[in-house]
Amino acid sequence: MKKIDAIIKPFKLDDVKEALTEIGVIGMTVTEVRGFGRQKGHTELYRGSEYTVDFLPKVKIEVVVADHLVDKVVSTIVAAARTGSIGDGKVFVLPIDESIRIRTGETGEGAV
Amino acid sequence: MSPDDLLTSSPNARARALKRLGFENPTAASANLESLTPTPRDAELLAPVVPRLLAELASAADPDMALNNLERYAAVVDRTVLYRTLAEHPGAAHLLVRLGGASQFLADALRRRPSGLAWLLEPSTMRVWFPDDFAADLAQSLQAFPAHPARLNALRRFKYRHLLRIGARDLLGDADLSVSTEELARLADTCLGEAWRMAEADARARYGAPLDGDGEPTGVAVIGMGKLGGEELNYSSDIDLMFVYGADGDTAGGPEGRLANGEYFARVCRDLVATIESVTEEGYVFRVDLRLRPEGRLGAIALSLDGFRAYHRERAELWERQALLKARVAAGDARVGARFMDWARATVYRPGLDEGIVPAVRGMKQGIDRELGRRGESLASNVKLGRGGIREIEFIVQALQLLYGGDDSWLRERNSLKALFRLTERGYLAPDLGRALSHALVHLRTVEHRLQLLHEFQTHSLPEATLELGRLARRLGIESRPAAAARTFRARHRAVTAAVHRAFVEFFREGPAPVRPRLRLPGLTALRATGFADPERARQNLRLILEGRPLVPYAGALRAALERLYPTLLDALWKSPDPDEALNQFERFLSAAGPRAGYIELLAGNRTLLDGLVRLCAGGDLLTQLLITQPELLASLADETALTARRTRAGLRAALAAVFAPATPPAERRDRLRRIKQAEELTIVWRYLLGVTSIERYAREMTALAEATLQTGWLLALGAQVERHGVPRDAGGRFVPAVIVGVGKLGGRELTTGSDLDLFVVFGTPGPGDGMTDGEAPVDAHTFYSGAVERLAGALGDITSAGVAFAVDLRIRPGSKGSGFAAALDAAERYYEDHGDLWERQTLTRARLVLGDRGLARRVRAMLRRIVYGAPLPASALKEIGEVRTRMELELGKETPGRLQVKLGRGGLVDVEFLAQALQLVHGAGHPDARRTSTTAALAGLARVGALPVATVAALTADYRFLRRVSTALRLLGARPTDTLDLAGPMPTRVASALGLASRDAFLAAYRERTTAVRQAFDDVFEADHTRSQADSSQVERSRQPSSAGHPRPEPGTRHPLP
Repeated sequence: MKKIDAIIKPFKLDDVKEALTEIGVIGMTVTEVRGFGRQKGHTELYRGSEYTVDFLPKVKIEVVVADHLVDKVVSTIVAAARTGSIGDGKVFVLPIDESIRIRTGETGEGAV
Repeated sequence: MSPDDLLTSSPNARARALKRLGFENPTAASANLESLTPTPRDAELLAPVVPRLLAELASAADPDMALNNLERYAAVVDRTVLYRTLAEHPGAAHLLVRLGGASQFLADALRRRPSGLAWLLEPSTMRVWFPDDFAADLAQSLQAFPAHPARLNALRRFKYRHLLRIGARDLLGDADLSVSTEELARLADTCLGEAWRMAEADARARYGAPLDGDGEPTGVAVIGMGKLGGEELNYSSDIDLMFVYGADGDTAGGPEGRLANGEYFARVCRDLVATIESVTEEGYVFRVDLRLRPEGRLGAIALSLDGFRAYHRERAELWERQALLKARVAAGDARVGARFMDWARATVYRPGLDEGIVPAVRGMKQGIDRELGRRGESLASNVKLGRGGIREIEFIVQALQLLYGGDDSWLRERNSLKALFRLTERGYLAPDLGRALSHALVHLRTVEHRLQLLHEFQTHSLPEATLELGRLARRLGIESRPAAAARTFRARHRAVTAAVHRAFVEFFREGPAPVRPRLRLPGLTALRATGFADPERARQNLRLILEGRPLVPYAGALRAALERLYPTLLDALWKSPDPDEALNQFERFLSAAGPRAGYIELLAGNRTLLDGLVRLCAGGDLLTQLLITQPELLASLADETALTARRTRAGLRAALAAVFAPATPPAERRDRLRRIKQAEELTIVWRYLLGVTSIERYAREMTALAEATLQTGWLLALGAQVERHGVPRDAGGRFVPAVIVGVGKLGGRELTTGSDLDLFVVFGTPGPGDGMTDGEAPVDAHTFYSGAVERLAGALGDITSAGVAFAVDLRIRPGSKGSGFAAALDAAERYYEDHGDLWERQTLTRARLVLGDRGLARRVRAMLRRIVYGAPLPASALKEIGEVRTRMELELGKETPGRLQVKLGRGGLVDVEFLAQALQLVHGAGHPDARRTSTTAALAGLARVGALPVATVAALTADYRFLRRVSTALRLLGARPTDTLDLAGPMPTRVASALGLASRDAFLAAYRERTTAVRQAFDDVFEADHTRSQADSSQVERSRQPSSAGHPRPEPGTRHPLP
């Protein structure tokens, strides 16, 4: 089992959601977050007003899947979230030791 | 109560404060504010934003709705993230409130896709998007979705995202009506293109490719009609479509068999419409209206080209022909589309004056009158169909287009506003009337646009309730309380509709039965004998001069003066070098001068002036055009001394000083700048046409005029900036200066009539943290000068009632997209060193310091010298320049056997320019003598340093001169697009006579000989055979592609959408 964390541009959320649904991923956790990577610190000009880019609004998607699905899920997220410009985000893959479905007490991949 | 207390005060006190801010329902607003901050943590996060938010809300078109929408939006997102964004991002509060306060449907669209906000807050989002940008974004949005249903959803998400972007820019005032409606049409085109590809691919996989009778593959084109065709789509417009396929036949056959083409394309088109129209969980793309097709609802969904031909031959009515005025290929098979458009043009625009149109148009007009009589009450508030509404303007435009577009192809314009502009430009509408109608159309279309923006309903009726009308007025930018805004709007709207209706009635008024002219028109034989090549046309023109154009009648008082003028006119015409053209242009001038009998009197009384005018009329469209916009200049032509004096920069500057006369309002300054510039240009052109000046001297004078105008515009721009921000100063309190660098023709002192001014602005590098202005609203030097450059572009390039002075082109400036319009000296140098492409270095061979601080100018010149001539270009890099040239020729020049391109075509001006510039880059480093900015001086320099043989340079210089004269003649003769020479039309003959060559054939032979020689010289330098085969478009980065070396894409603010 692996957990996949994807930090993406907010407007790509619906695309990523739909693309994941297409390949059969049925559950995910979505959080609005703020963060920065290489974009921090520089100044931008928005409609004539200058401002320093600090935290940028992002969306974090968390999905837990069986090991054999990891590559497919990652490539789907990457394809749907890519715009080619800076700030497209990151994907992280983390090991998961255990998962438990609270209602039934099931454990392991069946609980995902 | 201070805004900060609002969140914590009692509900009653809060309601009272909100009432004062302009909320109609303060109790609801108070409740909304409360639910924005359900927890103390939310209140704490929102508190710093509250003052700004309240100010924004108070100025929203409908504060109640704005706050309501903000609350509903906050409810579907993470408040922590939202409130921090509101606090940190300079545009967030403004955007959310503007959107929510003016458009319920856009606010709903955003709430359904809340994550779109972050995208709207990216700088790169909020700009004009071009078809390429749309296509690339769509491809990206769809790439993850090969399966049909998911693809439909992704297409819809794409559409709503861009709808929000276009709407936001519109509501924020970043895009005017023409830009927004044009972008909506591009969005529709992009979606239609995708729907077509999907439908076609699916059908092809089932039935095989459709083939015509000869077994050649054929396809279907999607024709946009109405507002889509005119690229003036509203938010809620249905899109009017027709489908045309190439020819009947059968498909090649596939797994599901074989179909007749008609059936196959009907299937493709039904699929296409379903892709666009069907409602999925993500909404729909557009609503489609197919009723404009032949036979309307009863007709086949797709018809072959022959089907269209037959229908229009046999049964089409005038209104159907009129509807074709707007036809445009929106998507689909480009070859079929082009054939359809050829046919449509020939059907709509028939050569000669079709007298039958006038009664038919009158009949349609009476239909409108009857409808107004019957439904007048209910149409009173209808901005489209009511008295003085949009339909009346469009009717005038289209009637004139049908009448005159056959002979004057410049009138064939689908967009109503642009068509009005061209009709005025060509003199079919008197300047005052044309301006008034343009102004009215913009007003009415904006009202319609803002009406529909609220709920996306296709409504055209003004609301009756004062409050609602007031909110509409506020959406239109009238800043007062709703009741007062409603009053202001009513008065403005009444004035506009009254003026339009008056013009409409006036336009179609039946004049008194034509008085039989007391003067006889000369017979055809007589006309032929006196030198008219086309006596029919000449006779027609003479009749028009005496009787007036249909639907563009002269006032009766004019007729007497005309009759006095008539005999002298005939005499002057017979003596002119090109009687046909002189008479054509003279007729245009007269009809444009309209009822101003004074000019005719002036001409009738001054034989020298009349002779001069007729000679000028023979010399070109452009001059007549200048006279049409300012007939009062006619008097200046009578002044001999003014015309023989050289035009110098100092003299021109003195003339332009009138712009700064005290107590002149800013708008009047801009108009005066335009009028003086046009008057001076008229004189400069006149001197050239009458042979007083050579082509070089003419270009020098035009350049001097441009420099003087630039200086005036720059002073206007700086004045406005200083008033607002003060003066930028460095740490020592010293002024941070700037200079204007001219490139392109301005840099090379090679301007001709109609040239843009290519330039960029560099300012002195202030120390870190320095360079702030010392006025009320301090900004840094970069912002100060960026703003000044934008103002400069507007001061010179905006179209006002007086036209334009110069279009300013800022695209060749150091710095990436979005980095402002001016660059600090050190930033410019860094940019060129780190990111400058070869083509940019090449354009800098023409860089010349035009005006500004001398000390800084020296440093900028030194910087440019380091960049351009610091190290010699290795001869191997010539290949890259050669490739760019090849692409320009193929992609922009697009010569055909019947159409030459003097600038970009084979052996054209650009060949010489590229050759000179490339060699300058190679040899200039070691030889300062080769670093001249003008092409001919550069060539001479290259000869002196031994880079080119003297004989080659002499030949190239002569050829270049010849091509410049051809290009100038084409511009003066009004050829459109500029620098194209259609061999089929009368242009070659007219250019020949302008150049003093004996005949059309002599001119074309000279042209061929010279361009062949130029291309040979070019190939000798670039080894073109070697480079040609390797030209590879994909090697060049898209946003800076070499078709952009001379012509990068336009950017907002630098060009007006009108031609």
